[in-house]
Amino acid sequence: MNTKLIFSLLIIVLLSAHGRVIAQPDEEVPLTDDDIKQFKERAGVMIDSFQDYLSIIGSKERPKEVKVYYADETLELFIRKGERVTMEVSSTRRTYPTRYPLKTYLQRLANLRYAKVEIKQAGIYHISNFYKVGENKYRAVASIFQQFCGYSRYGDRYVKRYCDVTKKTIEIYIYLMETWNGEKYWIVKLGDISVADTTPAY
Amino acid sequence: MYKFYILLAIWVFSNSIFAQTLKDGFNEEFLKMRVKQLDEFVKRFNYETDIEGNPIADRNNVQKRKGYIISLFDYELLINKSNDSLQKYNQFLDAVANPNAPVFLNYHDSNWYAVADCKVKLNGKLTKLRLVLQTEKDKKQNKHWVIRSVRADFLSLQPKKVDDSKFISPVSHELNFMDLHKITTEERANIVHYAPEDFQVDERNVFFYLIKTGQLQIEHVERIVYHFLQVPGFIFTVQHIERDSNNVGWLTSNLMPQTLTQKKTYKSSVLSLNQ
Repeated sequence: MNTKLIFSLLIIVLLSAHGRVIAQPDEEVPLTDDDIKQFKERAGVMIDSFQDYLSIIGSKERPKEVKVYYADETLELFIRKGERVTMEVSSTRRTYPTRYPLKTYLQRLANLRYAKVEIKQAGIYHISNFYKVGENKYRAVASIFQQFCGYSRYGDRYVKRYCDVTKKTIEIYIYLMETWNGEKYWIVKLGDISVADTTPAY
Repeated sequence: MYKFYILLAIWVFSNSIFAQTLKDGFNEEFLKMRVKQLDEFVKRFNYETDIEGNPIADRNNVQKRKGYIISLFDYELLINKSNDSLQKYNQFLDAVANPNAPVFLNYHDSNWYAVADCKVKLNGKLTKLRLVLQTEKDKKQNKHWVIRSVRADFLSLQPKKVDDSKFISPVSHELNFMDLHKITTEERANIVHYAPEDFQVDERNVFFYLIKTGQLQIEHVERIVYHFLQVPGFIFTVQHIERDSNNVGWLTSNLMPQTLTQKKTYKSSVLSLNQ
C-alpha cells in the first residue's frame, strides 16, 4: 500500500515538475495566421523526421536496438502514438495499395530484405487549409513526394533492386492542450497516410 | 481572345512541354506545376496562390486569373479543337472572372460534391457502389463530409416488375394477417409493393443497414470526381489525371454549359440527390 502511495505521489510530482498536459481547455481559442504558419512549419519538420526515421528502420545495416528506438520515435510523431493510424503502401507491382496499421508497417519495413533503403522526399510539398473539426481541434493534409529505393549488397557494392516515386498524403491533427497550471499550447501530430500515383523510378 | 488564354496557360505551365512523369524523380519544377491537392486546385482557381504556393498580391487581375483557370483544364479538352467548340471555355472564363461578380470556390459552398466510385464487398463478394459526398458545417462551425446519396444495383428495393396483384388482402385482418408470413418469405423481392403508394426508398437506409450488420464493407475508392455547380451557367468536374505531361494532378476534366433547370436535373440524375 505504501509503495503504491509513494509511486502515485511520485507520478504527480513528476507531472507537475514538467508542466505536463492534464486536460483539453473548455473555451474556444481562435487560430491566428501566425499559428497556421507555425503549424505548417512544424508539420513539415515532423514529416522530414518521419522520412529520415523510415530510412533508418528499413536499413539492414542498422542494429536492431537502433531500429526499435527510431520506431518508437516515429510513433511519437503520430496521433495516439500511432494506435489506429493506417498506412497505405503501394508498389509498381500492385494495382491497389495495401493498408497496414502503422506499427505493423514499421515492423515490415524493419524486416525488408534490402541491405540498404533510401527514402528521400522532394522539397516541393503542399499543405492544405486547416479545417475545424471540434473545439480547438483542426485537421489538414500534406501532400509529399517520396522516392523509395531498395539496394542489395554485393561485397562493397550496392545494387539498386527496386525504386519508385510515390505521392503520399498525410493527415495532420492540430489540437489545443492545457497544462496543470492553465498554460495552453497547440499540439501537431500526424495521422493516416494514403498513397497515390506510384511509378517506377530509375 | 480565348486562344490567347490557352496559349498563355500553355506557356505558364509548360516551359518545357516535354513529357515528364514521376519516374524522372524529383524534378522540382515538374512537381511545382502538378496540382497536388484539390485544395491547391481551388487556390489556383481563385487566384489566391501562385504555382509555388505563394499568396498572390494582385488578386483582381482578371487576365492573369483567366490564364490560371485555363491552366487547370485537362489540355486534352482544349488542344486541336475548333473555335466553336472552344467558345464555351471563353464564356466560362468570363463568368468566373467577371470583374463585377467574380466566382470563388469555397470549401463551405453547398453546391459542390464528391462522387466516389468504390469497390465494396457484399457478403464476401466484390462489387461496385457509388457514393456522393458533400461538405457540411455544424452549429459550432466544425466541418466534415457527409454521405448525400448512394447508388448500387444491390441497394434497390424496387421489384423488377410492377405487379398490381401484390397487396395485403383487405380482409387480412380477419385472418390475423396470416399472409404476412408468405409476403416475407415467398414474396421478399416484391416487399415494397406492400408499402403505401407514397413510400420513398432512401437507398442510404439500406446501405447503412448493410454496413451496420457487417454484410457490406468498402474495400477502397477507385475514382473520385468532384462536381462543381457554383459557376452561373456551368457545371464542371475535376478529377485526378496522371500521364506523361506537365498538365497533371487535379484538373478540370469536363465543362458543361447548364441552365438552372438543367442543374436541377443533373443533381437528380447524375448525383442522385433526390434521396
